Amino acid sequence: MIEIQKFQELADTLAISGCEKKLAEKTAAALSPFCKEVGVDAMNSVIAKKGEGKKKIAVFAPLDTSGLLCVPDTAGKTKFLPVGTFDAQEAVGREIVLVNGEAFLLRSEKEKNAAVRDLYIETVAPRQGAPAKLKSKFQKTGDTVCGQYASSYALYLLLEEAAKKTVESANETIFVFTAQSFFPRALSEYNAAMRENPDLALALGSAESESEAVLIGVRDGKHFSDPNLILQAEKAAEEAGIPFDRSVPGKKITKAEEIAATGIPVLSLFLPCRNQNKANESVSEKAVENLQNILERILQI
Amino acid sequence: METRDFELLKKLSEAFAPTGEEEALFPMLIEEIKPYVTKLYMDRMGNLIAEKGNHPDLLFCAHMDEVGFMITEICEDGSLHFDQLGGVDPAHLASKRVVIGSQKLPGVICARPVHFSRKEKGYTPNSYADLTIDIGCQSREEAEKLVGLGDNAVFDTEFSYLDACESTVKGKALDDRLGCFYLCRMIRDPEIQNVVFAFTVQEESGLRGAHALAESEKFSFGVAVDSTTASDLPQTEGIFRVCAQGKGGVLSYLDGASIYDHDLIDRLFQKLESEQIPIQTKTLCAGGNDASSLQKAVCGAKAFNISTPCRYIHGSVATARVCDLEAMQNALSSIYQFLNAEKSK
Repeated sequence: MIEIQKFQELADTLAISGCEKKLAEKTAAALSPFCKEVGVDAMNSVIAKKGEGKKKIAVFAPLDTSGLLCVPDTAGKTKFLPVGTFDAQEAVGREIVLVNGEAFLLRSEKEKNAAVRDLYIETVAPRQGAPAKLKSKFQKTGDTVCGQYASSYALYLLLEEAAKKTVESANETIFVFTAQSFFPRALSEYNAAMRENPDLALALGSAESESEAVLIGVRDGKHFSDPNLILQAEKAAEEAGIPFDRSVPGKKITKAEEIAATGIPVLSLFLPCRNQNKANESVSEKAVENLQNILERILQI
Repeated sequence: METRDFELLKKLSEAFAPTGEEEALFPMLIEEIKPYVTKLYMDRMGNLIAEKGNHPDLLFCAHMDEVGFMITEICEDGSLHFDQLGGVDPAHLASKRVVIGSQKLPGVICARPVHFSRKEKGYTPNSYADLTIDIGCQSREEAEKLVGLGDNAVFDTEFSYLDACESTVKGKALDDRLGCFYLCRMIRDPEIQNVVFAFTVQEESGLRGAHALAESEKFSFGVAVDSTTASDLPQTEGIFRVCAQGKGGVLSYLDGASIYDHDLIDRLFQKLESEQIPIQTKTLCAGGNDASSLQKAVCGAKAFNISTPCRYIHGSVATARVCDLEAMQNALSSIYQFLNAEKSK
């Protein structure tokens, strides 16, 4: 059941890449009563462990979102540095929220093809280097929740719920909420995988899709999911009657590639969403439920 | 600047230590720091590591290497084709003096005279294929007696004050001999204890020395002390100035290779500002530094970078303001205190 309030709370947290410390501490505190071990690493990724068993399975989902850092400008305006991938053209005319909670209209020095360096707000930021994020007001229509970064927040909430849930399992599960997952060269997934050395890993992400079926990632621009894990996931989904499709995102590069680079078999699972990376990115309750169900079954294999 | 410090910085700046061939700096640094450290050793990669105190897990590092060139072909006419070590813009190289090999064989990077070549295509060399080094030889046989393929070269620039007021220094390889200089002064400081100081290799060719160090040792905090691109030039405005000379060290929130812990950087800014130590951040980000390797190791440290604002780095001569050197040294002492307090939390 999607609770819109939780989406709004995450949207109001300025946990852009590099600024996850508060959210990491909050997440660790929330999971402590439910897990045998919870830690925050040097990058601020949260690692929560649960259960004992024959296999060690790690599940990765992002803790952060992309955003902006404020930089001074000699003209008295505030300009920005991008943190992670940031669609400047799409952001022009929208409001951004600064660290003090104030919101300002994002303008551009160029009418067309604006890059982040062209964006500005007509105020002096509270301090240089302060994080800023696109303002998002979440709405729920029917069983669909809509707002900027909806799929990222849905994945965070899904993983948090899975880590809190008491499930009889023959395996040990490691829940990894990765910091700096929107920064391509951060290696936070790679390092967590190297340290924890699980037998297999599941990388949760999101992908544009019109349907509510879970997308089982076969390959992306750099990485192939483990063929045995693909088959096992499909079998588990078929047995439970969970709708799924194979996803071949092509040139898109996912962070599963970092885990695969450690030699650990990895499977990408994508939450289907619409209008990805737009102000009205939307995720349906049914799609979240499908991913949740398939995840629970894979954790039992 | 005190004479002792000026002489140390001059010696470091003028040393021949292109990336991958840093050996010339070892005796200078060892002589400078040996009396003050409890342990001094070199790892397999060639990083020079000095410890003060017992089992320290707080690291300050600076890279020893500089950008330079490698000889790739000895031509029929005795001139030398070469390629870059690290990032050096070929458009800035014509007529520059270089020295080749640790024997410091002098050479000049060839340029066609302005009288004849201005209208020719390729007048401004924009690729290394357009450039050669002249070492005064008339034939390949003659040149081969002096130079071998794979020999390295660096700029030949004397370190000195730029102005009569002694407010600015100029020299080659300020990136990152300035960092080595600060570390030497920290090592001398009796107030600074329980710290690992690392003089790293091969930063300019992919942060390799720091990577090897970070994968072999575990540190709770890592500080990469480096130099960065001040572009506060008359024709440059707004965010394209990046950072400015005379405004103290540059503490980055992010660069081309890493994002640093925002909360930690915020609190460092607050501490330095409260102590009235000049400090600034960058308005554009490119490239990376050793902090990236320290952060991204498997058991990575909380790492960040502080840099001296230098003009014209990765060129034949760079400049730095003496007031920024003092601000950097003060900032590093303050950062040491801050991180010590963080560790005990």
